[in-house]
Amino acid sequence: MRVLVTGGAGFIGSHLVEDLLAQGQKVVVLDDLSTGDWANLASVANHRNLTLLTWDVRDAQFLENLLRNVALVYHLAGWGPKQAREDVSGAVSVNVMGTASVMQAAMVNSCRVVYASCSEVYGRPSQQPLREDADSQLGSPSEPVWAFAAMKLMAELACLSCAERGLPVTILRLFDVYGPRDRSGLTSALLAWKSDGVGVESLPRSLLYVSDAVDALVLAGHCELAAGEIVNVGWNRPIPGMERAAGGVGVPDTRKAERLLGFAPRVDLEEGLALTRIKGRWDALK
Amino acid sequence: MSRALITGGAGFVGSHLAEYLLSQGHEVAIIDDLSTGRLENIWHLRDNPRFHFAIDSISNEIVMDRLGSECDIIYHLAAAVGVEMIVHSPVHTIETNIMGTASVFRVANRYRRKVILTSTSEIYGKSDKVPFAEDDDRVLGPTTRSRWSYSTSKAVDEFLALAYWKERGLPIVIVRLFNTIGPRQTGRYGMVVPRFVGQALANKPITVYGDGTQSRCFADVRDVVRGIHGLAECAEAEGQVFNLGSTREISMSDLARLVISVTGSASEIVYVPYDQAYETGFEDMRRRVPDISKVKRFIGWEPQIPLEESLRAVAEDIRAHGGNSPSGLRTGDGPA
Repeated sequence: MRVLVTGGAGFIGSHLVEDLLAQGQKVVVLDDLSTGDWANLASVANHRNLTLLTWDVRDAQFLENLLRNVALVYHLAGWGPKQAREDVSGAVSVNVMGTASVMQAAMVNSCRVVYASCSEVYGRPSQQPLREDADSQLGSPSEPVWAFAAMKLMAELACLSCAERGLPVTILRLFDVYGPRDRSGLTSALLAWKSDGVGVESLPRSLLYVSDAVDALVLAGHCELAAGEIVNVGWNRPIPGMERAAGGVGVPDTRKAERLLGFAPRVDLEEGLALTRIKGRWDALK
Repeated sequence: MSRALITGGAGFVGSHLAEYLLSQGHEVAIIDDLSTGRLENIWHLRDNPRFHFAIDSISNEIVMDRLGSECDIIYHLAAAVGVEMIVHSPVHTIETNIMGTASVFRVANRYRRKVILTSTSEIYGKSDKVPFAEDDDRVLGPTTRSRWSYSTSKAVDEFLALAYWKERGLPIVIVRLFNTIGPRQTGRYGMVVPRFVGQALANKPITVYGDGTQSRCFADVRDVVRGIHGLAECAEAEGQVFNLGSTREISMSDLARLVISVTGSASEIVYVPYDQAYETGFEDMRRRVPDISKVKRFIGWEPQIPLEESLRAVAEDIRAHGGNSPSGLRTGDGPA
């Protein structure tokens, strides 16, 4: 059986695909390249266990057929906060209806699903650290900046409604992931802060290197106990030099990830940024 | 005179809006797939030459395209409604409330038609602020409770509407309805007033969920449709969000007593814990009061019909039509 990664040509998706292939899995990548890029998969492009499909995740019928030979789906396809703010209706279509179409196809074929959600669903919470069962405090719809969080919540609700009907679905709330190939602007802001020491206030309080995010995704894909669960995935310790950081939604309570998935992040910011620089140069060479 | 298209026009609010617009001399077309709307709600309008209806889904783009091309303004009311309905069917909520709305806006934009989007006080979630102003934060419980899927789906609808206004200049108005009552409302989807009145008329125990101190404000649907139309006709209201509802607060216990006195019923009041009425861990709001200063400032709207009169109208309707339901009043649908 194969593993499907939607959005597999994107930032986190491409790292996940590399990892799955290294484990010897057969991987299918579905990406419409609206925000992803096949160049992100250059290092594995000719791998015999990899199938690349340039297609739209909203095509429910196509997905239904595709999932016949798939045991596990990592649903990562979606637009980020910036694009969602700029084109709300496009983002609703991809992030909400795209997820509904994946879930529908997974229901028909009884596939395990891991959905990549994000910390933005907590909004601007009043208490820290953030536990998975915390309330979401979101701004009014007259501010488009809140559209992204509303879409992610709706997608989570769609996943959970399938979980209630017996589908093994796990939702990971990823807290500010950085690393090579990140085009959200976070990684470049981090590197800029490291070199000129300015702008720390707007950086997130919790930062997760992409290989740690990939580890959590892989663990969630094999964890029976995590079915129907929402799990925070992020860095929960103080980061030296970043005491004045005030961006992001806050710091995750990570006990559930430790308990259910046996997951704890391993790469600290120093090492993560060093790896980002090295890998960035490596990618540029190829 | 204009030609209005009402989606969800066979529903409770939709049918009153159709009636009101016809009385104002407008031409009215409705589309309704009768999933929650009922033919009986509009049957009395069928001989009016200015009234047209299509029994179809708003996701049928061919039908919507024709209806959109033939109207001047779209009142988008079609939605999966009511708390009980939503708790039990979140996937249906996405299909009806988000995909349906997206398709309405695509058509509206194609023909550049103004859209009045009806939204809900559920938008504010479980926030304990009193009263709710339009720009207030939304506070939702954890997503493990499908309780919040109605609120979330309508928020996504609002983001869509405002994006069409900001990004493409499509004229839109968002109207957040608070508790609305009146003839033809059914108790089938957890609505409290028709349930209480139905129980009172049958001299059966009136079932109050929780301890009965939670309160709501009930506006008469005839006041509400007048407000919706007023906002639709107001050019300054475009791109804006409005609360529309009553500010007279009443606790569920007092409401039960008032229903008993208005109907002259012999019913007693029985309290049922939330856990028995809804799924375990159900979160209800203690109070839900709209700040209606904005709609007052824009169009001078205020509710006029007192609660007692609305309750009398509801009771009369249920006596005459059995709640307008072909199978008679269905008070037994909510857990008892």
